[in-house]
Amino acid sequence: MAMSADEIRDKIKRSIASITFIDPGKFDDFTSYEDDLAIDSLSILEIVVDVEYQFQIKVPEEELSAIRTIGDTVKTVQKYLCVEVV
Amino acid sequence: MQPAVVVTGIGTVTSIGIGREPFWDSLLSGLCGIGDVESFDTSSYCVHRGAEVKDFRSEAFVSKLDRNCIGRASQFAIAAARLALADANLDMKTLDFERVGVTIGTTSGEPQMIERFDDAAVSGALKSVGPEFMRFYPCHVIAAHVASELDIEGVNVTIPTACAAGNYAIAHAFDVLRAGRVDLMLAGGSDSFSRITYTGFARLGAIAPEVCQPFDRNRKGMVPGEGAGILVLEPLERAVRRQARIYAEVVGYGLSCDAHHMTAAHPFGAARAMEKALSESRIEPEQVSYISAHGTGTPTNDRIETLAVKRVFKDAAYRTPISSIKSMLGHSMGAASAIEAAVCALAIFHGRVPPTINLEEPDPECDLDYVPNCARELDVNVAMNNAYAFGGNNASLILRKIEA
Repeated sequence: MAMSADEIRDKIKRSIASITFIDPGKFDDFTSYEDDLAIDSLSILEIVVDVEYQFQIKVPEEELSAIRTIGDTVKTVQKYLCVEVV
Repeated sequence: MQPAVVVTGIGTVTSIGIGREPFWDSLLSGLCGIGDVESFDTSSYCVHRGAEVKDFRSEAFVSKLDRNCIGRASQFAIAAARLALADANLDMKTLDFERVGVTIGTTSGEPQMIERFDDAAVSGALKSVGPEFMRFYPCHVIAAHVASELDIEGVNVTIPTACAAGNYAIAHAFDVLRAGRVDLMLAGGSDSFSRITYTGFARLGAIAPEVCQPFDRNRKGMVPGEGAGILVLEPLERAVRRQARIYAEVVGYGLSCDAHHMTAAHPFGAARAMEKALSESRIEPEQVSYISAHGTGTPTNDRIETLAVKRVFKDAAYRTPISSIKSMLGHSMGAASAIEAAVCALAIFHGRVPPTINLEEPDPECDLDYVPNCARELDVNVAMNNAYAFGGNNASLILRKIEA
């Protein structure tokens, strides 16, 4: 699945917006889930499940805990999309 | 090679039926065991509903032990054990009792015994509490009482991992059997209705005012219940040799702890237990035919559980029927997952799955197939039984059909 970083970023932002009802115009790569969006752990799981589903990937739990920002999410999705292609 | 372990007997004490057949018939017809609490006065509480076992006659089951000296959870466990042994059609004379064991899960042990003590203390009669109190209330007495009533002399364990304890007990029995340490295990869970438990859940604001409606948009909480579920487990080879009726095989389990918070579930723990159970059982998510949900009916549990199932099952989550019998039985605490494991075995054996009743208005956040309101014919090859508990204890069990 060839997908540019921008396409991945857009999809992730749409997913977060649909779950948190926050305007995606307010998101950039440095937006932190905890500090800027103040999302609880349940909404974070909703985002994880939705993003994994959208991209048909599975991110190991230990890597999920290292994700702090939307930029981290884009990088993680890119990494696992590559794995899927290979 | 480790032996396959199978379920050959089922005993249940529930608010909708005592014994396998009445219980299964009630489940399929969607009978609700929830009503106004009768065993104590709830007028000072803001909630009044519970799922009590109302027609339990301990004298029908407890003959060797003194019924006044054993608590209601022990009495339920003894009854379920006797029912399971009778259901397994075992010739007791052929059993080597040193190689038979008991593992029982519970949340509260014997809370009614603690209430007896409290009542004595409150009424100024503390001196009336004798030393025998020490042997009435601890959790471990439940499995010990089953063993002494039935003369079972092997492994004896009570596992108090709260509302996942039934699955933990079955998992432990599975290991003991696979290791060849015993010939037969009685494994399950038991809990009695009590003011202690009821007060705790009422204070948490977790109890629904009327009905338990898991996965419904308007669900308002869980409803405390009580009961016991015990399975007879034995190696497949032994069951075949004695021409036993085999309900299902126990294939594997997954345990996990959220390591997070006492009552607030962390979303990943549930998923981890399911994943471990699947990988240990060498079963792919697509092969699971039915999931028995923890499904308490609290707003948070049902949402977390739905998400966890989606994370593990992906597309298959939408194709796998999942139901919560707590909609009918309420939450029987440590007995719940043992009774639900019995339901998985019966679903496999009969090719039918029980419904989630009171599911009227779908919740957009709970959008899987919860078998709403009507039982369903379904060829169940593999069933997964999920249980989550205080302390972040998660336990998933997998059962499979034995090919004839």
